[in-house]
Amino acid sequence: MSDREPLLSVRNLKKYYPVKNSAFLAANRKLVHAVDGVSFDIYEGETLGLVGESGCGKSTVGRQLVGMEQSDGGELFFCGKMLDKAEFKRQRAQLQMIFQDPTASLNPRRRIYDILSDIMVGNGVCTRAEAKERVNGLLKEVGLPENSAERYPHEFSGGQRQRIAIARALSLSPKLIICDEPVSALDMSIQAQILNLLKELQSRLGVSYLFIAHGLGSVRYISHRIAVMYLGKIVELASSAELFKNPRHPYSQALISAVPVADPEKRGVKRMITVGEVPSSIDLPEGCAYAARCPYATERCRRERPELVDINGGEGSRNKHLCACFNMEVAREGVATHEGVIVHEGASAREGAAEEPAVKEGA
Amino acid sequence: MEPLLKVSRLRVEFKSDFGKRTVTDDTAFYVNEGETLGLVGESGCGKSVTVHSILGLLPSNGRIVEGEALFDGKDLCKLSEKELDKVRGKDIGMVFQDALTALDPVFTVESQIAEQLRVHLGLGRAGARERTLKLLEEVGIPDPLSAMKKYPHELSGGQRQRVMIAMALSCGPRLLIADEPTTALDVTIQAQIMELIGEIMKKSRMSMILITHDIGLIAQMADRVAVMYAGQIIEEAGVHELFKNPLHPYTRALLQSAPSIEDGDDRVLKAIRGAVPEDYTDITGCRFAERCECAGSGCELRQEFKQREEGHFVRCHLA
Repeated sequence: MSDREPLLSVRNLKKYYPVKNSAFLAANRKLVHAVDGVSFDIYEGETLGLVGESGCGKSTVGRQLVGMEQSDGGELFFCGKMLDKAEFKRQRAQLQMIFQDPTASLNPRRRIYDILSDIMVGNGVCTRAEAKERVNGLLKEVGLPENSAERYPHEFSGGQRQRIAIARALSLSPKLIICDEPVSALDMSIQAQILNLLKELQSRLGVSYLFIAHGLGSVRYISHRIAVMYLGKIVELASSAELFKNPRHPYSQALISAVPVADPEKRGVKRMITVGEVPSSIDLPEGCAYAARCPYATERCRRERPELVDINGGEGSRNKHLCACFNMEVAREGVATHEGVIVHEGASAREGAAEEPAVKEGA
Repeated sequence: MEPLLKVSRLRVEFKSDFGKRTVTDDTAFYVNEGETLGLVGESGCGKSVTVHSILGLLPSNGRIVEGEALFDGKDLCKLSEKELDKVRGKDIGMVFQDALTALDPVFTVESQIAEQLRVHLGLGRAGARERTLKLLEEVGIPDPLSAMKKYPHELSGGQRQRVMIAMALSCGPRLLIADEPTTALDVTIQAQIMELIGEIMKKSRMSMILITHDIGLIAQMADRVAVMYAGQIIEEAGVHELFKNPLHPYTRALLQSAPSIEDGDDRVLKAIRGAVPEDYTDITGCRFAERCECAGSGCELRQEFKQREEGHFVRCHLA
């Protein structure tokens, strides 16, 4: 693929929520730093995966892109134009969303035909007379039986409902679909159906996805590039193959190594076990947000905030491997040799565990 | 050697306004001492109902119609509530998926753990307190002294799960039943919790039934695996054998449908067509047949759970 203009550029996106019942004085009010300066590009026909643990702000990013949340800072560029209020209104149809729970995102009182036709007629894509044909075409596209249009959402299984949600997102032929955990509410055997459908639609229609999920397996499967988020910031962004082969940020390394591999023969493989838990995003530490859990953290990490830098030196932003860490080189060696990774002080409360290394051999 | 727990011919029925419905039937499995049995299947396949039924934890509209569950020579299905109380929490510990609902919100961590110690082990106030502190330390809760005084809502998800594990382990159980113990947690926390459970298993020779839908977790933790589909165990084998040589078409499809982080770019997931049947009470033949690629004649007949290879059981006439 050539390195053309990105379809969507996100620059320094921010979202802060005030903490409820904190204080009466606005000056004292504390903020949750849900999204704290996030930048990325999405190209045409591409899937960008956005991964991170719960509360890291990945869903908030997605919701801001479709205008479900107001931003507290940052700029969006869509097809080269800045998305201000007027431009956003013009482009709104081009940005669609698929949610995690299709039972909640479909109106239970309306037939599938109504759900789909109203959007198209309302947006002037087709007339009432043409709607029926368009709806049937959409349903066929997402692999639903022919008589589906006259039925209600509750008559479908979870996987089929997600297909309806996908049909709704496709109804205005958008350029970008934000998929917020589209498969995590579904059964295992159904997840693969939906993932394959999304992939197939992309190759047929050239639509781009922002795929937000915490299941690394499905993100790896569907994404071309992946951004790893931690506490409202992107800590690493690279092509999917590169990220899993050569993760450079200590958090990405820990995240990837924490996923249990579906192969009993690989039990002996050493794993990095991160100690401690995600700190609160209210009082963010001054330095690197991951420093408190990071085995490589130094004094500098606690004082200064690392910025994303390109370590690949590749041409064009699509081939970049961005990582925000001062100790990338140490981290890489740590993974290569599995040495020098020592439990940090957070675990020393556990008696007797202080001398244990953080890298452990599986049983 | 006799297995620690041996379940045979277990059938559980639920009554509803629309009549009776068999939820699990012909369930049979065993757990040896010091062994981890993985129970894997999709939501609604009867994994939780199976273990809840042998512990007498079914809701009032559910009951065991037939079968037995021999634990240490006693049939758990025939014990009275009172006798069961002596086993539950003492010889058999349980860890549930959602710690926030499983823990009592109006009692402190200390009083919930100490209660068990005093009832089951007859410890006094001071003894129970001391033991509680030690348990919390063991499960890796930082600053256990202050954590003891906290209420469940004051702890993080991972900490709550640790408290539940401490509770389950408090009386030195011989069998731990872990029902989706990490499903509600993030992966890095999941790795911590599974590491902890693994360490405890090694130290104590405890047995475990690990219920999960995560194939990766099964591969890493279980010694033997039972795969459930629509209320029946359809395959059972040692973990290495099952992953290398799955015999039931459902197991095969399941293993192929899970995306893995180790995949290459060109991997195509194999999806299973259709969906799990909602009501499988009336299906006399194979319950997977309508979704199965190999289905043919003979699938409409009742499928027996038969041994095909040493220690490898499967419920499919084609296997």
